Amino acid sequence: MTDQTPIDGFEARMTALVRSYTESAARPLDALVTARTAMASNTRTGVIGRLWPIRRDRRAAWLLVLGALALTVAALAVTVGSRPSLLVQEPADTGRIVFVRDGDLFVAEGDGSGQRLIARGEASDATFGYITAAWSPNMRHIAAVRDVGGPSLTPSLDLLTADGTLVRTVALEPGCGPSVSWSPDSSEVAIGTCPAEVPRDTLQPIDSGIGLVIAGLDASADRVVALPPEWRSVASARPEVWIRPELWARWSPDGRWIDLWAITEGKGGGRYLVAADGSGARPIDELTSALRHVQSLDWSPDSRRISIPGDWSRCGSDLCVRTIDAGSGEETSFAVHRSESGPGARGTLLSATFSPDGKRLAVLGQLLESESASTFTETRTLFSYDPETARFEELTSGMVSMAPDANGQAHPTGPATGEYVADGSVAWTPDGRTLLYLVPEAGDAGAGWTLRSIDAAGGHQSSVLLPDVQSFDLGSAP
Amino acid sequence: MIVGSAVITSETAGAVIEQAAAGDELAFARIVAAYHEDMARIAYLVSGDLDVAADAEQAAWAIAWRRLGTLRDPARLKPWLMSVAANEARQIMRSQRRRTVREISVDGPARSSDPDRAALIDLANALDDLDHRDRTLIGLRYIAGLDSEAIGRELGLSASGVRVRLHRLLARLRKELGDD
Repeated sequence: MTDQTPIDGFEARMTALVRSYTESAARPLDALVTARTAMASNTRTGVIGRLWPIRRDRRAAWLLVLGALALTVAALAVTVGSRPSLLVQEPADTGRIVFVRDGDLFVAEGDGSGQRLIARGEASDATFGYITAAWSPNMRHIAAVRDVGGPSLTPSLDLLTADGTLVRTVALEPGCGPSVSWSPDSSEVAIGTCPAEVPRDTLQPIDSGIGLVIAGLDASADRVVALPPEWRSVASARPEVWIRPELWARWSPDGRWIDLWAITEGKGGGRYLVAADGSGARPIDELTSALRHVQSLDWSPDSRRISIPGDWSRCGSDLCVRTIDAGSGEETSFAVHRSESGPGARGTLLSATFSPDGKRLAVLGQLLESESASTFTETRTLFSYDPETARFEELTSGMVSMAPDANGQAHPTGPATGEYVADGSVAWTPDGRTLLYLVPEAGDAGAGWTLRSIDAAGGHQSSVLLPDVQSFDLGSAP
Repeated sequence: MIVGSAVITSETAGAVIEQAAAGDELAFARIVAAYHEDMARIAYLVSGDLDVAADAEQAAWAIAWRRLGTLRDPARLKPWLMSVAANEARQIMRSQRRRTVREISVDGPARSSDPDRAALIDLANALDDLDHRDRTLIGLRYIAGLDSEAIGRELGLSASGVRVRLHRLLARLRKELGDD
């Protein structure tokens, strides 16, 4: 039997409340009468079926079905094996994946093969186990955030070798699930934290206490980077943040900057560049002028450019992609993808990720359209964009209907259709030919995520790489 | 009428299931006695309608009797029965396209452990905003007391998927119940 003790006071309250609410349904009944009624209500076939040696007959039938399936699979294997690969003929560099499933840590090849458990996170109802993980740039180590359990979400950072051997554990204060990002030289990890007592089921940004911790493979290098005193919070406990570890704190490829999303007193939320040597911080607003809200950014491989996704003021329902010079803020490219939608529709660029050679961007766009007085649809489309040709190649898309609850917060009214790509989950393979991304399993984000891949050149269907993935990181050997 | 012990432990479940599947009505009645109340509660939570809950429970027992012999793992008896009841409630609601006005009983014996009536109203309103699957999840967790693994097995979700979904639901319910 699998009885579960409530974790905290609210769960205990929920138990009492739900039982009280359903009290009127809990009428006494005569169990024997109910049993006899149920037994008598079955069809004649069902009753006779129990008397016949039905198990033997069913076994024979199943053997026939399985045999037919086996023959079909064998025939398909011969056929597929003799066909040319759908990928390019040259050997592809798809990298290696580290991912979290059910709170445990796994690695796999970039094509999803060779899955291997490397560390257990001991997940239970009192702890998430492992939450996110990231490869070091040299692929020799993995930084993995683990929830060690308790009434509050209590993260710790495990630094492991590539085969899962623990090097050291960095304890962190109870608070939000932190994001991690490796320094370009693979020696240390930046962790944006919000140390606070966060009840396990509170999924909101915490407006109290912030920190930027740098932890090294060698503990003697550990330090805390000073942040401006008016900053209030740098991280969030939302599970969506955990899908990609670098969503909230990212090291620039040249090692000079760590970009963070922060809430500051008097200004609300914004994106900042923090000097890795602790010499100061600058808001990304200084580099942009016509952007309402910077959600995230991506560095070009040479650190010279930054792609800024967001709600650009002059775009309306179109999707605008802008890259800027990281030093001066000068625009280096700007492109508009016209969306065919009605008035009142609103388009936003959720992410724009540079390809490994810096020449293209994987662009995830969002379009919100009113469906009725109380519902709207959200469509997400993944594009590959070439700034040289200014051409957008649509790769895949998905849609979900949303409706606000009594508090005005929007929730899906049903499963998503198509491929509803998770924000922040798009990654290029090292060879720049394929994009990896997460979509909700069966269209329902609450059911978990599937990691899929698609040809970045377009014109192909996507493939399933790994089912039931909570978060992942794709790395490539230098 | 109480038929033998209404408590079925992990040690006795296998034997009781086997006897019931073989046609022993007293053994089946023991199963009914042990689980009918929670099944009725879950069916009511999912449907919001007492009549539908009663119909769903009756239908669930008929299914349970038919398929009891296919249950290989005795530990799954309780989770399985609960999800059958929830599923039947959902099916009835869907086929009847019923829209329910949730009623909150103000009668009945006063209990020192009863939450106040306002909280019950808030819960009823919050449940109205949830789909059947989320209500089933709430029922399996807070009525049947199942953990994420057991819930996941019955709903076809991963344990981690259940945890994430539950966390989102609780965050929402905290707000609606004024507990944030």
